[in-house]
Amino acid sequence: MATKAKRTKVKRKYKQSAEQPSLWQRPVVWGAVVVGVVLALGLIWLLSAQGRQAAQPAVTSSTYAGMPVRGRVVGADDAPVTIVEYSDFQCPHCATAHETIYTPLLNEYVKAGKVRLEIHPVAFLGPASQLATEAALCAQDQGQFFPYHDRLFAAQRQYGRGAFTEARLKEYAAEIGLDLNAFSRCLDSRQHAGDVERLNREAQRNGVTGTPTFFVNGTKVEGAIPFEQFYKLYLKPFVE
Amino acid sequence: MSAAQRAVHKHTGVNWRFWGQVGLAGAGLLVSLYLTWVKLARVTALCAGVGDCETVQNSAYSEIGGVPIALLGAGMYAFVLVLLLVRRAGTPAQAELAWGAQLATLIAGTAFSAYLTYIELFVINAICPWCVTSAVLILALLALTVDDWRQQILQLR
Repeated sequence: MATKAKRTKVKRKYKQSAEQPSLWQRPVVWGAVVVGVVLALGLIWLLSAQGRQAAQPAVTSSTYAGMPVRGRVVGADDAPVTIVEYSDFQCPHCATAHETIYTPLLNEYVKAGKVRLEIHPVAFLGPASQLATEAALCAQDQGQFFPYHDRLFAAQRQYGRGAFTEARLKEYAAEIGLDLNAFSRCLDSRQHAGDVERLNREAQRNGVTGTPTFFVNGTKVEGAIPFEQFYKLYLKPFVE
Repeated sequence: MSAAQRAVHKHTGVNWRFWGQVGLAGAGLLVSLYLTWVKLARVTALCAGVGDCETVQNSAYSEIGGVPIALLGAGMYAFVLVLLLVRRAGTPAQAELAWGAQLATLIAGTAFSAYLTYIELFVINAICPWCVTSAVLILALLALTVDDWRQQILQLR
């Protein structure tokens, strides 16, 4: 008897679920799926466009037109302020400082002859930093340190830790119009490996323990601080 | 609400289906707000030595048109919390609409966070544990929302 009652109960349950309209038949489900998928595709499209845009450096080659450039130094020799920047191409805060401190310095103060800026690249963050710095020195051999340095910081935002493979470093060189054969020979032979080690040692001797570090007429400034603060505390006394 | 659900609810007085989703969305909201603060205040995220939050947070993929992705995430979780409240307090028709909106939001959120995880793994080669946590929370929320539909429980009384 008990088995029969159980069977009847199960049958009734099946009958009930068959009578209940499936949610797939309701417009709300299809509407939700369509809206969700369209929204996701829109966001993915926007973000991938953002990634492609990141390949454009914050500073373009034309920015340097008319500025005195010698190796890793840009700006007039008689500028009242000398700023030395120690940065690692793989350091995220250096990429931030490149946009928030370096770019306004270049556009407003180096161009106006008030600041002479010297870049001291270091490789504190492992083999990828080492290779990227060697590549930048290879670009310097062709008189193109600055455009290459700008491209490397854009690449960090574009590819993160994957930005500094040999193949990509050569791609960037080709993008900015370097002699690719000479650049590849320089990079493949690790021509500047010793120079990078020397730059690291020099930085450590000068008390640089992290990046970015700036020396504004000898005063040490650490970190990617907001430009307003950088200007007010360290630059203003010399340029006003 | 199914018979089993009703029985559990009657027995404990707690609607675990509702509070479970509120818990997941609340946790996601906290994670997103933390990452938004890290991004806007330019401070270093607490990564506990796992992954590379800095590289992820400074990459070109951490914002859309100047709006941090984490802030979009916070908005999504806050919206889901509002929808959960509607599903609890509203009429059956309102609950159904809110459930649909919740499903749409979570499908978009899950697909987008899957894309972000792909970017982390294969483009920028850096993983942010906070982002992975958020991805798992969204996936769990989506699973529970789909299960609500499977169980025919759109109203979370």
